Formats: sequence, C-alpha cells, structure tokens
Amino acid sequence: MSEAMEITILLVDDNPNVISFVQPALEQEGYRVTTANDGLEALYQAETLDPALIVLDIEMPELSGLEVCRRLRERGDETPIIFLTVRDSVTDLELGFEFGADDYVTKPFDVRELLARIRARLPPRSLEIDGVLRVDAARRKVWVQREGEWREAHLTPREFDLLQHLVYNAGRPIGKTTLLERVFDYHGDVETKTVEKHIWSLRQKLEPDPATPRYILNVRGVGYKFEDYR
Amino acid sequence: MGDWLVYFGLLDLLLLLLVVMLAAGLIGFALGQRRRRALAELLNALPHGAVIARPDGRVLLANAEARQLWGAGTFPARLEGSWAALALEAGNGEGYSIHNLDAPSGIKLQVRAAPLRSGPVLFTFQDLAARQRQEAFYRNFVNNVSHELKTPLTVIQGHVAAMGEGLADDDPRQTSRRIVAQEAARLTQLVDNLLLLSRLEMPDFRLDLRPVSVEGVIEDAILQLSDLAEARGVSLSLQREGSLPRIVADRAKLKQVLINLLDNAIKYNREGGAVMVRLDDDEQRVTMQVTDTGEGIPPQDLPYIFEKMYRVERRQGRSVEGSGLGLSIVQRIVEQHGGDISVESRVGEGSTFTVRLPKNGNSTVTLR
Repeated sequence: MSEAMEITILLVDDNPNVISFVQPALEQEGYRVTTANDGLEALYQAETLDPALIVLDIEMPELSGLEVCRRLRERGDETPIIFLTVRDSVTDLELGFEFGADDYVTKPFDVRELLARIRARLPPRSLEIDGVLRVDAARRKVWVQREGEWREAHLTPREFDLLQHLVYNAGRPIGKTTLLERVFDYHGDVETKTVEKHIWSLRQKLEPDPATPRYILNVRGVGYKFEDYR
Repeated sequence: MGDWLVYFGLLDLLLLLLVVMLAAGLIGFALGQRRRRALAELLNALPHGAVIARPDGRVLLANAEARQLWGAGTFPARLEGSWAALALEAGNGEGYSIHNLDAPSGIKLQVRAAPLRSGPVLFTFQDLAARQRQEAFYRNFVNNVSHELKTPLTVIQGHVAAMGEGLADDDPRQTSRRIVAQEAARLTQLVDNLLLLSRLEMPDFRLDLRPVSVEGVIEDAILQLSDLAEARGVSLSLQREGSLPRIVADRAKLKQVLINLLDNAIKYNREGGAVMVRLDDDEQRVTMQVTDTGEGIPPQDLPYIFEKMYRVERRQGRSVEGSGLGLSIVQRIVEQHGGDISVESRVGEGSTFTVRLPKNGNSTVTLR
C-alpha cells in the first residue's frame, strides 16, 4: 500500500455532504485526496497539483463538470476523469465521452463501485493479499507463498488480465459474459467456457486448495468474484 | 284531382305552394342557424384555434382561440396570402395536411387543414412555440426532480454505508443503520421507477440501440440480485438453450426488464423457493422466461398486472414492498423494442413471465 500514498486524486463536488463520505473512503484506500467545491477551483487544483485522477461532479452551478472537463482537455490535460452524475439520460453521458471523460458513476452510488472504477483507471499498482498472494502489476508478475517461501506463479497474459480484473473489483461479482467482453475482448458467439477454463487454471496456480477456492469464488453459476481482502 | 280545382283555383294552389315553400325555407334557415350556433359553441370549446372556410377563402366560422391567436381578438372574413392558397389546396385535396404558418400577430402556428365532405375546409391550429415550451418544461421538470431527489439520497446512502464501518454486527446502532439503508434503497428504487416511467412516456423518448449480449445482461441482473435472493433463501439459476444470442437493444433498459422480473420473482417467492431464467432463440427472436415457485397470481388479477400502480392483494403472508410500477416499466420497454410479454400463472405453484424480442431490434426504430 505504500506506493499508493503518492497517488493524488482530485475530488470535485459542490455538495460538501458528498465529499464528506467519499473523501474518507478514498483515503482509507491509501490515496491522497484534494477537494474542490466548484468548477473554477477544480481547474486551479488540476493545474497546480497535477492529480493522477479527477472525480468530477457534473451538476454544479456556474461551471459544470462537463465544462471543466472540456477546458482541461482543451489545454491538453489528459488526466483520467470519472464523472459523478444524477443524470441517466444517454445524451449527457455521450456528451461526457465526447468531451473526453473516461467513465461515469450515477448517483446514488456505492462507494465500492467508485473505488473499482478508480482502480481500473489508474496505473496498475502492486499489492499483497493476506501474505499469500503478491501481484506486481507493473511487471505483470504474481508470487504465491507456500510453506513460508515466495514462488513465482507463471501466468499467461490472459490469466494475468483476468486476475487483475477480478482483483480490481474485489468483493463485486462479475458475470462470465462480462469477463469475456472486458478481459478477452470477445464480442462474437464465443462460449463462456473459455472463461471457465482460465478460472480453473488460475485456481490451480494460485489457490492454496484449488478444490475449495478461497479467493476466486463462484457466484450463482453465472459469475465470479474475488474475495474482498481489504 | 278535378275536385281540388273546384274548390281552389289554379292561382290559389300556386299561392299555397309558395307559402308552404316559404315556411319550409324559414324553418330550414332557423334550423341552419341553430346548427351553426351549435357548431360555433362546439368549436369554442376546443383548446385549439379552429376555423371553417370555403376553398375560395371565405371564412364561415372562427372560434375564440383562433381570434386570440390571430391577434387583437378578431378574425378576417376572407383568408389571404398563404392561408387562402392553403384553403384552395386543401379544398381540392383529400385527407389532412400539416403546415407551419405565421399569424398576423407574429405567432408561429402549426396548422392542420382537413377538407370536410360538404365542401369547406376545417383548419385547426396551435401555438408551435407554446407546445414546444410545454414539452421542454416537462423534460426539465423530470430532470430537476431527478436532481433534487437523488442528491439527498446520495448523501444519505453514502453516509449510512460509512457509518457501518467499525460497528459490531450485534450493535443496536448497526440495526438502526441497516433499517435506514434499506429504506433509502427503497426510496431510490421508487424514484428511479417514477423517473424511468416518465422518461419512457415522453413523446421524444428514444432507445439507445446497440448490439447486446442477452446472456451478459441476464448474468448481470442475476448477480445484482444475488444478495436479495440470498436474504430471502431463494435460489437463482440460468439455463441457456441454443446459441449465444446477440440482439440489437438498449442494454440498460433490457437489464431493467430482467431486474424488475427477477425482483418480483424473488420477493413473491417462498423460503427455499427457486427462480429460473431460461434463454432460448431462433432465427428471428430471443425468448427469455422467468419462472418462480411463488404463490402465483389469481386469474382475476392477471389481466391487470401490467397496469400502473396495480398491486395484487395478498390473502396471507407478509406484505411485499414495491411501487406497483415495475411491470408497467417492463411492458413499456419490451414494446419499445418491438417485442411482447406474456404471463402464465397458477395459484400455489408459481408464475412464468415470457419476453420475446426481435433480434434486429424494432424494425420501426432506426439505429442511431
């Protein structure tokens, strides 16, 4: 978690009551958080602090989140942006993507959902789980501790992507088809058995006891979830 | 015949005929006046401007709204310019036509011109901008309500979730927290349903159509409801037959259909019951079936369950919370996709909802 201390997130919302529950959740995750209460302050903070990511409310008086995003992109600032919005009408969100936003979360939202989106947008970081599993995201390597000794688990690139996706979303179940689309980038008529095969192989390589998995769990026969280790 | 001429001379008879004709004419005129008055009264009751004119442009009747929109509370006796041209054109045509014309008052009007069988033309018109303003107001209203309701709900749900951390499971404050969280979630669902239904019913509502994996949508819906199913002791499963169908659909709306159907199937189920989703497809269509082992729907209620706010009265057991909007939303979305929904149910055994969707989307809707 020590590497995470260097990651600064700019959190922008005109409602202090939203900031007051999002900020602690981000800090608990190990991020450094700076906040802004309006669009102008957000633009100033973005320039002076150079955050790794911006969580940006759309519906703010005067300078809206969309406008902030547009101005940032205009001056060549490519910082990843995740929008917070109450609007679920498609046009506004499409506008968001046109303006160069990376993702969005609709209010009301579960903070864990926002955390998962943030993790997916930030440069991958290394983590250690329960003293059993070590994932070095930058070098794409995984180690497993067996009988007090760390050994490298040799994963295929696909297996690593699958593991990373599950770990980023730890605690949240993900459907097989969604994994197929997100990790395997498959949109054709391909069997979800592909996912099942990779999961089986991951368990063989990582789980202390592959027959009764402790980390990569089945959910209702339609998806998987990585045990919430945090 | 001869006797007639004995009593009345030829001249008398002609005179009599003239009197009768005059009386008939007078009565006819009086009746005509009455009909005219009745017609004028009828037109005045309309919310739109209404004018009856001959194809040559002579105005026979104009209602109060027409005079108002025309300006200064009057309407001319004869149409001129593009209005006269339209009267002539409509009088010679068949069926109605719609045009945008200016009134001398400067108001832009949307005009519907329809020839009447007796010869004249009926114009009905309304203030174009006022209508657009009204639609825009409604849209803004829904967006504002959405913002004003969801902002406090975001704060409540966020803080209630944060309060749970560090509290022991058996702490009484944890129980209170859970109750607040549950009620806030319920309120959120109600607000979402109300807003979604109003959006679906707006005249300019459009689906966001893209190729969608139906199985992926079903998986997501099942996973989203797995906590609820767990809490109610209900098993959830997916059974797929045939290929892995992709259809042209609005993913978020399609997921809403599954969520609403599964939510009902879980809530109206028994402890230890089951909910099964079956997915099948042929060349043209995808069929999704949601079957539960719940209490079933009484036959007398079946025809009404898709109506807004209709709730089946339960004879026994706990009452089930819900807005009564879920199935209306389901039906509306399915129909927007050019599909259909049906239900079979047996009291005491359970219900099966069957949704059929065309693979290529609603053919009357074009891909954006």
